[in-house]
Amino acid sequence: MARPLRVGLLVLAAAVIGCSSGPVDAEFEGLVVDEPGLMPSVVLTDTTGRPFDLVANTAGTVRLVYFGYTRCPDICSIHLTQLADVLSRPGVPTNVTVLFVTVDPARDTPEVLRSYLDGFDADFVGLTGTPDEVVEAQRAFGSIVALAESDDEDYTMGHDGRVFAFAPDGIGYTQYPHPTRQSTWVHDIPVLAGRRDAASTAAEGHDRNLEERSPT
Amino acid sequence: MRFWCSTIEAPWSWDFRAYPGVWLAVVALVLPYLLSQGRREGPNPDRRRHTGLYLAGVAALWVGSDWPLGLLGASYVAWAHMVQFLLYTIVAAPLMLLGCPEWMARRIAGRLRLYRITSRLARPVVAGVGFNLLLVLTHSPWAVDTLRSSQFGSFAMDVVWLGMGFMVWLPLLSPLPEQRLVSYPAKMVFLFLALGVVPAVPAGFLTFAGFPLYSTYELAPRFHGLSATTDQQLAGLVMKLGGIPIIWTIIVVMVNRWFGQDRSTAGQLPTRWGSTVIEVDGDSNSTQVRRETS
Repeated sequence: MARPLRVGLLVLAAAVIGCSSGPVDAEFEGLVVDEPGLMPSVVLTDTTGRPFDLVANTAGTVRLVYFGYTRCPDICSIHLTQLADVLSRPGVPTNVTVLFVTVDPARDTPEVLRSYLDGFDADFVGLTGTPDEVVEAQRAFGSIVALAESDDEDYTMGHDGRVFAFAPDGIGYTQYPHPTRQSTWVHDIPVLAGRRDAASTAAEGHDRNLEERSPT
Repeated sequence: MRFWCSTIEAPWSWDFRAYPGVWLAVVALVLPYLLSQGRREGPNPDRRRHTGLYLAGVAALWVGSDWPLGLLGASYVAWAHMVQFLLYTIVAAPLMLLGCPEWMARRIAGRLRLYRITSRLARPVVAGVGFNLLLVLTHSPWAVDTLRSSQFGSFAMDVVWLGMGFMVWLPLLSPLPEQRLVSYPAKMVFLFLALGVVPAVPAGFLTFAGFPLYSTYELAPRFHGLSATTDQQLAGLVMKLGGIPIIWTIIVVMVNRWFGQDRSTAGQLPTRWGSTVIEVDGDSNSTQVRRETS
């Protein structure tokens, strides 16, 4: 066999082996988490002032958790606009909950939060808490803890740009940094929505059976 | 300070932003023209009309490049990008060609050795195909997202657009008469195909695409709450419909001139449709219709 041909075959074989052994999850277009974990159980306060358990109150849905603030000059509004656009598309699963946790509770009162989120989608859930609760929530999710970037009255916050995604089975398979394009969201949300735990799938099947048997 | 409009990440604001590069470009286009007109010693017919048309063309270029439209198109909304494109190619370029007197065009072509290349570019097939190839290329997501992100790239795209405008209008409006198409039907067909039909294809892609094509506009801070998808559909409509009033007005004017030309050169030969005969009286400029009986 001619030398160039042998070298070519070796390179091709190495490429094939290299491609097949990588930890690539072709199911998702977002950033795939190396060791997916369960969604942390955190209780914050929603925009009506009631306690909100991030896990229990959103059970059975795709949870998209984002730590931002209403005076963010750039990426927060872009993420939320993208999500609002994507979730309003026909065919995109409806069991999706967007959870916006403020990292600036001093300025983002529940009213301010509600008004801000209503500008994108009235179904987006706004969450706040004491400064300590908010910091603990960020740590629990593995988010970079946000910090004020100056002492000015009109300060901006340096904060994590990732959206943390959790499937209905409670596991966080993927994350979505800024910028994430709509095509990525539209691809991944149905995949996430399809990841259900055995208990919720069985419960849904049971409900469906009951509906079918009940007289109309 | 930035010299040319390019992508920025700040939210849109109506606060004025200065782009000195645009002003320099305007001065560089206007000053030599006015000096050249002023120093002209030979005959200079239609000087005021030429100057007015040229300045109107440069004004359109200025509006398309400077704040706010320049920044909106480079950074925020795709529809503004399309308005810019139309301003460059079907407003500024033809007005600047119309405003360029023949003696000036001959001088520029001679000094810069452009005569041969402009003669080639003025061929209808070259102009039409070249314009539309560049149209598709400069509206591809790769080109828009790459070039608009830097001042130099954004400037280069604007220069290419202006060049495309000159190219596509040369067969119709070249200041050098020998480069222009002569027959009105040929002019109308060229205009219809080059600027009316082919650009509708990429416009259709924009209007009916499932997702925003340009990351520049998709990921930009929103302009008055306009969603990326709606913005792209608007851009497609601007591209598809924006040029229609201008192009069809020109075609109608050409039809009128063509008929006028026919009337003045046709003599008094009657035109027949079946048994109907139309006779034009050149002296009284009246038309008579009569029916022949066998």
